[in-house]
Amino acid sequence: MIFDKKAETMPRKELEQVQIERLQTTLNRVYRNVAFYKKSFDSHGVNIESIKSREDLPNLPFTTRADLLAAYPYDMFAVPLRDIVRIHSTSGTAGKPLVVGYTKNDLKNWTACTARLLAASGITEHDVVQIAFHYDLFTGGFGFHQGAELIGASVIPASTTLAEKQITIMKDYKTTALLCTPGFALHIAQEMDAMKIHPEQLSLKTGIFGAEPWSNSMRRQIETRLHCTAHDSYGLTEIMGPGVAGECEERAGLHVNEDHFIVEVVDPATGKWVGEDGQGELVFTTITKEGFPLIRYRTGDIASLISEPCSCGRTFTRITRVTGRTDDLIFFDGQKIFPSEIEQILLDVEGTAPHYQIVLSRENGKDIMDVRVEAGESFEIDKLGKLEAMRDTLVERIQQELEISAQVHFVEPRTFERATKDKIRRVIDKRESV
Amino acid sequence: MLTIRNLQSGYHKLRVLKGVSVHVGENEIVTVIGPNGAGKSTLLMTVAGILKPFAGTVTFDNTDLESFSAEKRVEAGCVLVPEGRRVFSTLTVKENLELGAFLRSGKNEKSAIQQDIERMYSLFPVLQKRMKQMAGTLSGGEQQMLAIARALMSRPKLLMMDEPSMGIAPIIVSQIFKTISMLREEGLSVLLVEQNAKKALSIADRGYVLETGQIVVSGSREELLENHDVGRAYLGKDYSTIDE
Repeated sequence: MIFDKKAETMPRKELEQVQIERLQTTLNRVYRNVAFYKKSFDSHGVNIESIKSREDLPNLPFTTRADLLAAYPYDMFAVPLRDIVRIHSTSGTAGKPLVVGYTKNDLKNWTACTARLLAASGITEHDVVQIAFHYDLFTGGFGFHQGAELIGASVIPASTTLAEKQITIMKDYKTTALLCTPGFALHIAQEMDAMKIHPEQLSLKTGIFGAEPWSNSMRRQIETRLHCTAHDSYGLTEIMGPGVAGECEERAGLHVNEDHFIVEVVDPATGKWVGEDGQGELVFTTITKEGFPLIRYRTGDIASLISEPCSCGRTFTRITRVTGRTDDLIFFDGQKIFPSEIEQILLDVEGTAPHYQIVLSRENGKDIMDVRVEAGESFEIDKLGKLEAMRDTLVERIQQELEISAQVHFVEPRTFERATKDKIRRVIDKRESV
Repeated sequence: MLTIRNLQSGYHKLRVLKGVSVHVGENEIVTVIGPNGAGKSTLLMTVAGILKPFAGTVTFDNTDLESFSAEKRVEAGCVLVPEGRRVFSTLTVKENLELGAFLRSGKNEKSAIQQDIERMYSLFPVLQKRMKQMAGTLSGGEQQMLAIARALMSRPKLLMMDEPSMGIAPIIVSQIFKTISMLREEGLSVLLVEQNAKKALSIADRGYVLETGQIVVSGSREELLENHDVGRAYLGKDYSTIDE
């Protein structure tokens, strides 16, 4: 079902006018209200009046994750804090997280965007929607929650409680739609086997998964094991949260909510447009956000545009499913972690630059992280006790600062390759590749 | 219906509008609010063909208006009710209305014009009462009604109004706005420029905030009412909290 027919099926020509109007308004506002953008545009010699169409967008400088980190906590906000009614941030990162704020209008638009996505997956007021995303600083839980309520579905804010409990809720409350990370969905499937619950004992019809890239074979696995139709969704906290793009009933790419966001695909190395339907890094510009507008934000996500119109009737352009990252970001158990964050903890505890490797695997549908650290050359066998204490400290610090459970193992000195011309491969992902 | 893209306009060397993009859809009431001197009237006068833009495009019904004279724009259905109720004060109310139809000629038009005058009387009954009176003797509110009725006599598709509430008793303003809403129901599109943001947003579907020649906020009526900048600057909200 198309939730907002007027917007989602708007003729491209009208959409183009709406986009340029909103883009120019946003540029005028960020130039006046956000010091970063005034400085950025001025130092790049960009006059915002020269942005006369979408094609002029590449004349504007990018915004990067580093820019947002430097703005911690509120320097990128375009309105005074009293106009902000909700604050979210990226969760589980050591050091400074990214902080984002929403005005009342932003929340309304966000709600509408997730409602569109849910409706496109077939969710209606008759559905019982179980949301098994974190309900906290992370945008997943609250973002989908609002949209599902707007549609009028019966919403169960299950959050990320234990799989066993999720299954009991699914079975007893007759859940028809499950929303969570694809990894957690597989974990739930695994747990169902253990509990000897057959998917036919559930009422599940639809699954909407996201927050991490997942492959088509993983989709097939989830569909077979949970007996539901699995839809992909795309979003990120910096841009808004869930609801930036989502699959329609055709499941042939994700429609970007283009009346709120302008999407570009650029070559990660040069920053130049990759050409029609070429693959590259997704770059988003928000054109309606009041609290936290972003101009040409580099997401680090790799995908391409599908310029061909979709048979569902929506005129919004589609992106393919995300196939990878431009950086070494790890998607782990619904969290996003950079190896550098682990490295920082190792550095703090060991006191010297660590040689390490992060090995990711999946057991019983659950993500496992094994951090392998070379013991320092100075360590003697008789200091084993000290090594064990250090290992426990590392496990504890990773748990505290990154909010993930990792195993830590010490290995012989000089086990891992040293830096040569090529970048060292710090992460070995043995989970199913995407 | 009306699509304005990257419009730059002003007076001689003074650039007032610095790249404005706005649109009015079929059957829509769109308002442009903003402080004095922001360029609101400049916008309407440029669309009406009274001012020539420095740059940018104005498209009406998919036609570029660039080569259109002010008269031709009226003929195309794009009509301005200027600021300050410019009625012909030495002519009667009825003569003013007839003049509003001066571009309509040809067979059967005479009776059609007569019918339209009757219709104006039903929309604004006070004009019928004053039909033989000199327009200059009408009250401010009545003159504004006459100015609007005169503009409607050309059977516009888009009615542009510049500060219709200025200097008029609030109750009359409400009456006028009610009539405008009614005309929209019948298919008229309206571009309304107002300093009285509260009043304008009471009937508009969407709106833009124009400040120093640039659009700084745009959105639906609800979004503008909810926007704190708009609230503080134009709707008189939050003053008590500021005083504290």
